[in-house]
Amino acid sequence: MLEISGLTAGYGGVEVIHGIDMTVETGETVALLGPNGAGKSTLLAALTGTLRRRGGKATYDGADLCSLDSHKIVAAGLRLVPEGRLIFGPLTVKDNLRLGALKLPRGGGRSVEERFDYVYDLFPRLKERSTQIAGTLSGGEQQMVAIARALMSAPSTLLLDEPFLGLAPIIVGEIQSALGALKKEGLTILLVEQKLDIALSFASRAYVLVKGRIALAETSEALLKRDDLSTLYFDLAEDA
Amino acid sequence: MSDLLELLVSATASGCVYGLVALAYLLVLRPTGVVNFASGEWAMMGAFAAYVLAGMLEVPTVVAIPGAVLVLAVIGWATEWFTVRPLVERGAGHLAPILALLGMLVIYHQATLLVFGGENYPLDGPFGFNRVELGPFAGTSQSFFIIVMTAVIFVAVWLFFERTVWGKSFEAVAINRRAAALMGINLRLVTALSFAGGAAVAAMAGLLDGPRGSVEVNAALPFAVQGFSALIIGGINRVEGAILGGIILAFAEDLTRRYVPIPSGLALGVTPVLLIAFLLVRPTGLLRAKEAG
Amino acid sequence: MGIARTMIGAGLRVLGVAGLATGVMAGAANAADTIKIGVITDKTGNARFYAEPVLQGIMLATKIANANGGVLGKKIELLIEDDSNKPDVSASKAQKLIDAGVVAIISNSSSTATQQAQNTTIKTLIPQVTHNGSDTLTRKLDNKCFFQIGPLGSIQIRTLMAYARSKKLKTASLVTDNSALGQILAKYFKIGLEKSGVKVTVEEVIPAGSKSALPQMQKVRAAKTDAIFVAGVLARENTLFFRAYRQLGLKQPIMGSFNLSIPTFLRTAKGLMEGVTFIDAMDPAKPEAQAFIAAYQKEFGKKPFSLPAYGWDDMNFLIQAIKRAGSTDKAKLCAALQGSTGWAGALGAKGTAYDFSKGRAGFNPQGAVVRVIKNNDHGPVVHSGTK
Ligand SMILES: Nc1ncnc2c1ncn2[C@@H]1O[C@H](COP(=O)(O)OP(=O)(O)O)[C@@H](O)[C@H]1O
Ligand SMILES: [Mg+2]
Repeated sequence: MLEISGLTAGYGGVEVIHGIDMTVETGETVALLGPNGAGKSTLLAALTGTLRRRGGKATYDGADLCSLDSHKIVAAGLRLVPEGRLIFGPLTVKDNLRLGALKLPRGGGRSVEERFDYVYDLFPRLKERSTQIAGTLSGGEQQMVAIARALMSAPSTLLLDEPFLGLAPIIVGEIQSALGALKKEGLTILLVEQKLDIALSFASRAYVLVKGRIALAETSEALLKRDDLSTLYFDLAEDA
Repeated sequence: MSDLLELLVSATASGCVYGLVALAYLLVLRPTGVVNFASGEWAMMGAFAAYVLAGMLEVPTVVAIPGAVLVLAVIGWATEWFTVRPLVERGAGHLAPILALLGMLVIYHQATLLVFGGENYPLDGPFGFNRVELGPFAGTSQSFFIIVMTAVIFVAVWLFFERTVWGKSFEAVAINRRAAALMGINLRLVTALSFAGGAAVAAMAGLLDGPRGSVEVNAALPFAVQGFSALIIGGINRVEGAILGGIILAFAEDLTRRYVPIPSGLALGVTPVLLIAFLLVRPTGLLRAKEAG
Repeated sequence: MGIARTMIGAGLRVLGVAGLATGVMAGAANAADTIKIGVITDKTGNARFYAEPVLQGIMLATKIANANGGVLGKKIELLIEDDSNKPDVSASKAQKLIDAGVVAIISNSSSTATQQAQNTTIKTLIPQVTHNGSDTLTRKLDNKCFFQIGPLGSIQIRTLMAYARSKKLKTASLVTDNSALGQILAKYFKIGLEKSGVKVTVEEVIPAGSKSALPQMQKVRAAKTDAIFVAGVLARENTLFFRAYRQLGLKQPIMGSFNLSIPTFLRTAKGLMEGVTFIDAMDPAKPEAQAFIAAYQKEFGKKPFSLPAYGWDDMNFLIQAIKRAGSTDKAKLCAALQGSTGWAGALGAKGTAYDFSKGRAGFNPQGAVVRVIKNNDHGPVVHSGTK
């Protein structure tokens, strides 16, 4: 379970997110919505230890995320698929995936080979392209590599930062169905998205982040019923 | 003709020494982006460490060589820990670690000078300097020893980067530090190991070269310049580039000195000319990075 | 070299110097009763490797003089100043020593530093002595109280050339390094050789930091000259030279400058230098040199090379003049130093003595020697003089 309370984070002297309270229960799928520049990626960076200037409290299954180094957070089972994918372009698909498995917990019947089979099963395209240099793949395939790479260590929670950004609709569908399968398996997922329709159809609950503060927390069902959905961000920004 | 064959062995050995210093630069440069000019000091200190162990304490060579390499690895590790890490963690700019390492260069130099003075010290090679003939090639046993040891080191380093997942993690850090961190790679550990490995490889350069001329503090600057030139020639992207650059540089120097009919004082210009040519024409060096995109 | 021997050696050296220091300072208890002599030496600059052994000789001569009752009934007190081989520092240290009441100053630093110190000593005409062999030191200033011990650079070269002529050489190779001094020496070697009718057919430079001297020495081998002259002064690069010479199976005689008399080469080029001849200023067969060698051996438990003998002569030159002057008055001392004729020091070929009556560089022009490396040690004199 991911529990965040009063979390702040920023860059240099500037604070970007101000006192976030948020929870993601084990097995839940939650969406984090918000306009560009709201601080969504900053929040994820603070949670995964790549942004060191942070305050407040964030725990993952009881472990204090604010005091852990990024590699320990990965080992704890919390993994981020970052915005912009950040795949290792010069390396092969296989090498990218192998690096994803560095923190695969030993024992528990899991092996790197088993993880390869698992992600190739999820994204059969990647198997075909396993020896290809990752930088030469299409954007959608690169996103698949990014997601598969995160799954290689058999995480218990996946944080996805705008995974559909800039992708063709066909690919978006493919990735959506893969995420659907993961959800069905019971993986805890926090999906960061700007587009409400995609997010709300996938997640059971949603938080809306505006200007670094949680402006709204609702179930997807309740949110979908609102008729001001198209101007939601705008209205919330006005209020903030 | 036999002159040429004789020269090839010696020049290859010199190129190996350059290549090792270039590799020391490369190991630190790839994951951290830091050009560490103290690599030359590390080579010099490695030779001194070998002298202390083999020459003063009379430790057998098979122990003295790894011993000296270990001493330098610890020095490299400590350098990262005390000078580079605090800067990086306080979010200092990219130039700060480079300047800090230049400061360390001065400290290394003066400290060694303080302990050993400007004297020259003899270092014995494990096999001496007997003439060895290998088919048409002839050279000293030390030259062959340098070549064999360098080959072993380069093959080992190459296998490490190409064939092991730990090696790939170093590569991952070189490509994108943040992405590497998200894989669960311990950036601090990789950085510290890069410095330790760089210093260890530099030490090998110094202690392999030491028996040829002697061990002295003044050897540091030439090591730094030659290694850097080899790095620029071979390219900063791949391990093979370092040895290739080293050997090209040594051959250019030695063949010019031997066969080009210019006063040998002018032959000094080979290295800077080659360096400038590469910086202008192929700043990425001979070997490209492997990727297309 | 074994650790035990090295450590004991180092220990002896430290003890030795400490012992010397107490000997030197023994008279310091009552400063008014001492004869103060200033020494400007390089302890921290790049000339210190020459200066430190020379200082040993200065201190040893002082200790022995004091042990024998001192000079004019007074003990000698050394005031030692470090100039780091920096000319301006050297000049200000000279002033400091003059202010402290020294009767004379020994300059144990480079020629430029010594030259600069002269600008200070000439003002008060305080006697200044150096063993630095630069020819220009007595030319630039008409400093009547400045004296040079030891062979001038020009005498060294002429002596080596005389030796070359005696070998009836027709052609020679000239090998040096790219240091300033190495280049200058090579220039003088070349001029001297050509004046002596020896044709220099190959000139090679081994740049500092080279990893091998094989290409240069292959050219030397191909030229088949009668001899090889080494003008380089860098220990590492000279070692590469000797190594390539052996590796290429060269047989021509090697003739080198005074620089090869530095004991370092016997360690770094161990076993590679048999038969190499080099310029030196000390002839171990000379009785005065033997007296110095015996004193040194007693103090330090090992045989000296020639460098400490320079300091030994610096100090004894002053002592004999103070005795003859019967006073430490600087004008009288200056006159006595000028009048030093027939005084034989540890330096110089057997049978030669200093003569300062004709010039302020009093080393006998026939006094420099050529020695040969034998059993990896500085061996006997094979030639002396410039004829
Ligand atoms: N590396 C950075 N340094 C400084 N400011 C940053 C950095 N990254 C993002 N920001 C700023 O932080 C704010 C939030 O950015 P971000 O978290 O990327 O928003 P979102 O992901 O919601 O679009 C923006 O104003 C952005 O300009
Ligand atoms: Mg974002």
